[in-house]
Amino acid sequence: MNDDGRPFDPRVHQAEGMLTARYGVPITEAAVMLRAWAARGHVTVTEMAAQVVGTLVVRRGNGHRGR
Amino acid sequence: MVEQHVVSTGGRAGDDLARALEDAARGLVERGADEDVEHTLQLIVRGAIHTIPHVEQAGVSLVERGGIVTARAPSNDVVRELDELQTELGEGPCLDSIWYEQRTLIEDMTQVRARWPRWAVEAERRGIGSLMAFQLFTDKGSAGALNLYASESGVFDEATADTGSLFATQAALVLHGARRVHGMAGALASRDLIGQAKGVLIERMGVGPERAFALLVESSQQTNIKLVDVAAWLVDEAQKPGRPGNQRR
Repeated sequence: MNDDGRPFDPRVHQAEGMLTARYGVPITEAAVMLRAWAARGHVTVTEMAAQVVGTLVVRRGNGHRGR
Repeated sequence: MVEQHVVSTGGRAGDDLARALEDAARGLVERGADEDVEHTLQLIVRGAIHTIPHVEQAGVSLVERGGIVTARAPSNDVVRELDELQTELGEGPCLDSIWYEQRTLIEDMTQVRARWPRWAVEAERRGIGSLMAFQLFTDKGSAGALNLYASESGVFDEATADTGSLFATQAALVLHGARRVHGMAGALASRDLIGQAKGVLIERMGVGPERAFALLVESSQQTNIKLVDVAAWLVDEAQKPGRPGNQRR
């Protein structure tokens, strides 16, 4: 775990970055959103982060431009 | 307040030395020597003054990238001036300890004018009579020495230098640990930033994590800016309110 309690998983940081870019919120707020969604979905923060990253990457064709 | 535990020079000197070094080592660990490098250096300097006989002032010289020697955690201004002066003049016992000798012992400052003509005069002028310097470590691109000062001449000898050397060995281990922790903390922070920057690019560019990382690397190479700095800029920029595309949905 990080000092702030966030798990060591690169997808968590990627998800934070994605939510920041998507909603224009600070990274700290993105981390709170991620944690809240995980709690609501009864999954871990890492699992929720994987869903956030995976969903978007799959939706956009996994590595190809979507816009 | 740190308990003073100066080693005696009598028949029980061996026992006293072992106890003093044990106390010093425990003090370095218990007082949180691994929390940050600067704090660790201060503990080392205070510990040296309280443990090694006749030491009145102390400091650590650290060589950073580019060969600049900086005076760290000096116990007073004289130590700071004399440690920094060695870099300016390009001569001095601390520099020699860092680069050439594991330890340098000056029993009488007036006797070393031939070896360090400019620095020795400045040290005398500032009231320094004796000095011991011990190499702490030499890494790629960095090195360090522990410098111990006394106002009187003739107070340091080989026995005192042996004590100082033992203390310096322990100090080097503690400092090595602190530097490693500091480096790892920095690496972890960098990793977090790079991950977040990848997330920003994934969202904005519609690319996968591997391509996002490749984009960061390309940007770093093209701009000659460190990868972590590119990532920091990107994340910072993404958080700015009012940026097009940053409106809350």
